[in-house]
Amino acid sequence: MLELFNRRARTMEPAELVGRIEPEDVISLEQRWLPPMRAKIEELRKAGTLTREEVTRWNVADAHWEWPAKVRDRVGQLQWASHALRCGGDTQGLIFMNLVYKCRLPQQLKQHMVYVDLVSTAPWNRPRLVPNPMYGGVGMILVTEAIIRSLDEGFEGRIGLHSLPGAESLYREKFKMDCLGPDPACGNLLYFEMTPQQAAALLPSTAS
Amino acid sequence: MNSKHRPDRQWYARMIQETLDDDFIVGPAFDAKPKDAATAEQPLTVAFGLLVRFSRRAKRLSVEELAEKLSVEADELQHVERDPEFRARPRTISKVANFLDLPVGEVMKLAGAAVSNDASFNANALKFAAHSDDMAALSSAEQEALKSFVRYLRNQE
Repeated sequence: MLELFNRRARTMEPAELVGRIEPEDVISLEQRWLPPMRAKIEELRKAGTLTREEVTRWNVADAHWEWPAKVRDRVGQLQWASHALRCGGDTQGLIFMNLVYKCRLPQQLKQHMVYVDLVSTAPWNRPRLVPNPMYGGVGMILVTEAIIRSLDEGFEGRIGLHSLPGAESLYREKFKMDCLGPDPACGNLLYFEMTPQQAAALLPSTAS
Repeated sequence: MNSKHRPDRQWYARMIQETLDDDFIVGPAFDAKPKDAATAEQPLTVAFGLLVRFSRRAKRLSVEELAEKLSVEADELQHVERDPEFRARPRTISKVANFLDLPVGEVMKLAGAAVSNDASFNANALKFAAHSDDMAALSSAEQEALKSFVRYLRNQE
């Protein structure tokens, strides 16, 4: 059973990982996630500080990702896998993974991997956006799910992702992923890849 | 979501505490242009590998069992299924085509042993290549994708 950390109650709470993003998750996103994120974007626009740095500082880069359209377009395409993470009666996090991307790291060039395309957590869980965030662990569970999917697919834990500036140190230092530098095809975001060895070190139970 | 690879509760609890204030958000930057579709760079051989893999799984055969039926090396079949850069021998391609009851010429094009200048053929193959999964049994969506692509190949004759 998966659990999230309720920061307010200081306890672990049961969470449900749903096999694919469902309509109720999209409704939650449209009705409850987006309004505070868009309000922050508008606030930055009015203040004349709508820059990548400020959007990163407030952790609202995903306000324009158009999750509902992506869910609609990608449903039924086997190259895409998704999950919703629910807890406390609401959707707390979403992930989209692609299963046809190939590795770029020389030591695993063109090997199959799971590419982490989008990961978002509900705005009320974001320490930099709200003063008293609700749940901790949403992003960690979702990114770990990509590694687990990679292992299940026989891709040996290989994953790849483009990190937003605020998450670079996490993927480099805590997940120990290899950084291949800025990717001009992706807004110069840093591109990271995990090798089977790094996956085994992170999830010790996979070493067997 | 069952998986034998899932860590235990203690691992999750520890990792949550270690990353409590980290951002995990992944996706395009606020001012980035949309990325190209992932499938744009897929060669036709991806579709060939997938055709062999899906067909093998639909018949519930292991790589070794199919290799034996085709009288080819299991290693070669493994490469066909997994490595888009690998170019199978014409004899192997021919055996695969006969085994799947598909037109040899079309399968040759798919496997990179013959040139395909047919945009419609390429588009259909790439559409099929966008399907990817490796579960033990084919899902209904995979079965439909496979049947549809096999129908298309047969109609090319």
